[in-house]
Amino acid sequence: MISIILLWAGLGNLWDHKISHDYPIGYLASDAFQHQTRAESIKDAGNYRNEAFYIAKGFRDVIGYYPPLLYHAGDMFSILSSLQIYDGVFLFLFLFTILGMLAMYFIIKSFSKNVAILAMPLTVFIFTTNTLIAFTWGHWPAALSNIFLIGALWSLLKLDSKWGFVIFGIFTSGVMMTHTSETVFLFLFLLMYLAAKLLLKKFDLKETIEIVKGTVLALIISFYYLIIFRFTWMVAQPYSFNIAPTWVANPGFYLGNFSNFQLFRASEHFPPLFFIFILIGLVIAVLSFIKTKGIVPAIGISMLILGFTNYVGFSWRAFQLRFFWPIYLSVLFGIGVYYMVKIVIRKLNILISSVISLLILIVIVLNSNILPGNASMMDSYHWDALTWLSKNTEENSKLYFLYGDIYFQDALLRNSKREHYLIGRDDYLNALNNNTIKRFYVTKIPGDGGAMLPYRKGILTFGYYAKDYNSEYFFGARDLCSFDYVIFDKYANSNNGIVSNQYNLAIREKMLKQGLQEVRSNQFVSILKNLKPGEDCIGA
Amino acid sequence: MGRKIEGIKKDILYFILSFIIFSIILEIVFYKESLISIIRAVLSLYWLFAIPGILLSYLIFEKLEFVERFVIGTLLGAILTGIPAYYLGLLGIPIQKSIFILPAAYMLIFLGLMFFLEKK
Repeated sequence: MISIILLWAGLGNLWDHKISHDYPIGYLASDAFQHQTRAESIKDAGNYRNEAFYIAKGFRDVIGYYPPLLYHAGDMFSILSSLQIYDGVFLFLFLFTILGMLAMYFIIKSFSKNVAILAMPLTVFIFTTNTLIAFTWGHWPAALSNIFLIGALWSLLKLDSKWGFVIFGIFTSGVMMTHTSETVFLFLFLLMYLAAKLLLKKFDLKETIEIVKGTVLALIISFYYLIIFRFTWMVAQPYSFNIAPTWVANPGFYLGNFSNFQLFRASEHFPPLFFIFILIGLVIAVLSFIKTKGIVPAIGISMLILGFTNYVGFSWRAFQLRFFWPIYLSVLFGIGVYYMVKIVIRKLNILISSVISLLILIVIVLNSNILPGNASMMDSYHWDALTWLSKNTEENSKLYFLYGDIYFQDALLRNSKREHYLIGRDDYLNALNNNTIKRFYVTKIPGDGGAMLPYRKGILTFGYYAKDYNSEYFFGARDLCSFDYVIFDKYANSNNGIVSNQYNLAIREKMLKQGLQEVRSNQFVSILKNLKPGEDCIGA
Repeated sequence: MGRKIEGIKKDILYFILSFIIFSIILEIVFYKESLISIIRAVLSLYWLFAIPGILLSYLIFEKLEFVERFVIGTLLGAILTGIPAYYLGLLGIPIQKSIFILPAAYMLIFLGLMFFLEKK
């Protein structure tokens, strides 16, 4: 029942109750397209030896440096189910989130079945607005990595089985190969858990040995990728201490969000009820851990603490962990509700727990901020233009995108599957305000430069295109007339100071007069082909 | 017949039932989609992830209730097929082939191991 409600409120609603669409639906930020296009490129290439050149700013030997698991599992699911990658990977992620939630149910059930049942309603918050951005804004690898992290936590309950460490090892390798930073959270949890047991004189050497065996297995499985990780992400984004109370430009998730829905906001005096249950659960979980040294209360306590590591240098990584607070903290919520209900109903059985759980669930769902159906940055016209470019232009052609409302979430441009360039917004605005049309504009090469565009020089030696080239190369003046195709948006409706795209259309008129040919046009987008790249194309 | 194989035989009915329930849930949630598309998606999920992961879980855990085995097994299955698909791709076997090779290989290996261990 909860699975149906979760799926209905989450993806079902967002996707207008269809699993296949004509263009990406539910994609609300650049990173969602980043992962979609990478998955698409791996499908096209059949492997992830290299980043596609249209992802790697035109460079053709940049190694595949992103943790690969999400893309491969998502691709396989998409291909076999005959879904487009943009639908298949998204569906895969949602289904696995539900499975992750159910895995947490079984973790809590090992503590108490009543608590597990009462814990589940909180998990619905994973699909309300502030946490839904984990999906719609493209924090997909972090989300899937958290799901495997839950699997790793489950496997800790089974370490007494002879080969139980194998399952821990496999789940840990899944965490490492999906979004490596969650590995740090997994081992911080283990450190806290084992240290607390040591302090309470309940240290279990056999358990620790099994964890070490599982970790060794995970390192063996992930070894090849971890070398890449060491020389890419750890070079480009090393740990640095900083305190980040909020997540800049992102609606991060905070404990207060557990009461952030209409029913309770209607009354300012209404207490943040769910938050209170979590706090009560926290106190009881601490007491329970001191008494039993059980892993289930430890999970709730630790994941709450780890969600605050944004204050000790983990920055947005901590906020990515918080996306899964609705699942992790459901332990504390379930314990809190259970003990509060027990005050009133002494003989709490499974049936009563289920009824209470369902009632809480209905209250949350009916009052949650759930996104409207069919929400997306993409539309059929831009999708038509991008897919046309990917199928009808020469593979080595260079594309130039003039201003478009959605283009500055630039990972979506990678759907053109061609080397592409984007006009710099400030230079564009200046030219527009001065009413001048020119050949040279400040231009960005969009692409994923997060790991400094690494390429292999030897087995353990890497070069970085982001270092080899100066910043002007990636963001500097370029000749508009040197490109093979120029893409114009016909309308603008943004908050960027551009109320119409008359300027785009004026450039287009000049180019048409100079002999460029319109090769594709729809209601929103016009594509011109430059038959003589390098020659004057605007009649300067 | 050993306990692992007996466990699988006992759970086959649950497995088929889970497939039907899963398909019904998805058909309810995505009621505007054709049943064929839904079944194809569920079949893919089962072939790629559920079957390899569940089989491994039988090798390691004899006693586990079916729903728990299914949930954990499917999560495991994504790792079991996803990571080798990455490595096979690097070795020149495209992902389009891994879709068939990996689950089939896991079935052979895990079932073979079960028979071997239980004969011992």
